Amino acid sequence: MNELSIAFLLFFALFLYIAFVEVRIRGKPNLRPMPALDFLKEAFQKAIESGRPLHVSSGTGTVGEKDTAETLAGLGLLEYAQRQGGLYGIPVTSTFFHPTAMLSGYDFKRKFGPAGGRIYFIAPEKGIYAAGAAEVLKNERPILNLALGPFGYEFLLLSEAAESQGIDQVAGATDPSVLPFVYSSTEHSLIGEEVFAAKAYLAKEPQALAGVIAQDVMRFILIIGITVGVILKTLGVI
Amino acid sequence: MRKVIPILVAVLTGLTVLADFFITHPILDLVGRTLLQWAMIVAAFAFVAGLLNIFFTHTSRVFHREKGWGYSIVVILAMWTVLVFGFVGDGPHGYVVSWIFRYVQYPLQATVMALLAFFALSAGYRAFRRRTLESTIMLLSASLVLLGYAAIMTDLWPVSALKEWVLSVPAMAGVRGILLGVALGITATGLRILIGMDKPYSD
Repeated sequence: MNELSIAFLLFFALFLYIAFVEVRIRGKPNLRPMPALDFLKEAFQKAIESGRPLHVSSGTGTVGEKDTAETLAGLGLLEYAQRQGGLYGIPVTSTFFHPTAMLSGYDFKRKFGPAGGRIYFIAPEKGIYAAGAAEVLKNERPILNLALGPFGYEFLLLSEAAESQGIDQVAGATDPSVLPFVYSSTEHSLIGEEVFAAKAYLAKEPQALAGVIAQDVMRFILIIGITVGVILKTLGVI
Repeated sequence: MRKVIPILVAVLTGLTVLADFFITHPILDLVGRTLLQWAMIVAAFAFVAGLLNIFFTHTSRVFHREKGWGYSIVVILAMWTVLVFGFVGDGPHGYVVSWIFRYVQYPLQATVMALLAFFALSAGYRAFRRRTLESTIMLLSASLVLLGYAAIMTDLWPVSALKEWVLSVPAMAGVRGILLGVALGITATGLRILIGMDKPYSD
């Protein structure tokens, strides 16, 4: 089983590298439309016009534990928001569940210039984080609540607080038990793997785009593997 | 050199911990375990930064009399109380800190989480008002599953059987599809860092 896992990882890394080279030579590939991310661009324009801040939450996860990848996806979007904020003078307020993620928030602010907006570390307890972030939404009245990353049921507290203040929302999560809440409480949602593709769509960095292409290639290989396995099992070969 | 060294450290550390996961070898086990312990120690220092952030953010809110500044005083007082009693006497597991957690924090947490049912209802109502195909499917399947779990319906053949079918066939298929996509996303993110393509640890 170990050999199979290692082979899978090596293949994945190989496709990732090939896709990276391909993107660098041929440029951005055609990506299917994602309405939530198109709306995000509109929201940035509204923020420039109104002068109101954006609120970004990178989820209730930790850098260094099992939900690191989802947290990094959320931080990727925060990086993009801070970069846009630095360029167009949009204040970006961010709230954090864990201090390991908060340090990245400070780093982005340092790199892309302070356009206003605060960094709040709330608490490493999910319910308390959501209650604290809801209070930040109430006090700062941002124009957009951008919540992307690992979330549990506390997501509802945050999104309903934004909804009650009439704040537009773009949200995404990966946990299937939370996705119905994401879909029902926000008009612009990112479901499952779309969370990881967000940075590729927005920032258009070759490494992020290569990740999306490599994921698709590996998905096709897995689908073929599952289909062949089902047929062989049905025929009694395995 | 300022850019190359952090990338080298990150890539080598990542590959060593990954190799430790797949290969059983006493030296590799020791190195992998030590690296993970170091990571935990570094992460613990981040809490000091978190504590400073809470203190300075809320102190500034109080000084500038910002909206809700009274709550900031409560936050600062609570922070110092737990911190002081955590350091003196019986420490973090002592009587005072345990009392605060048992009789203040846990009931407040439970109260906040108890609101979720009402929020879920209002979010569901809004979703169904959108009148899209997806929200209609969601409404029908949610109603069916809810009915299927009602005590009076458990023995009613079509509802009970349909509930079981919805949960074990379309819902399960959707969940597995999403999980597969998420797993691929996680692997791609991890590999991008492991081979030095992505550098979320800054410059």
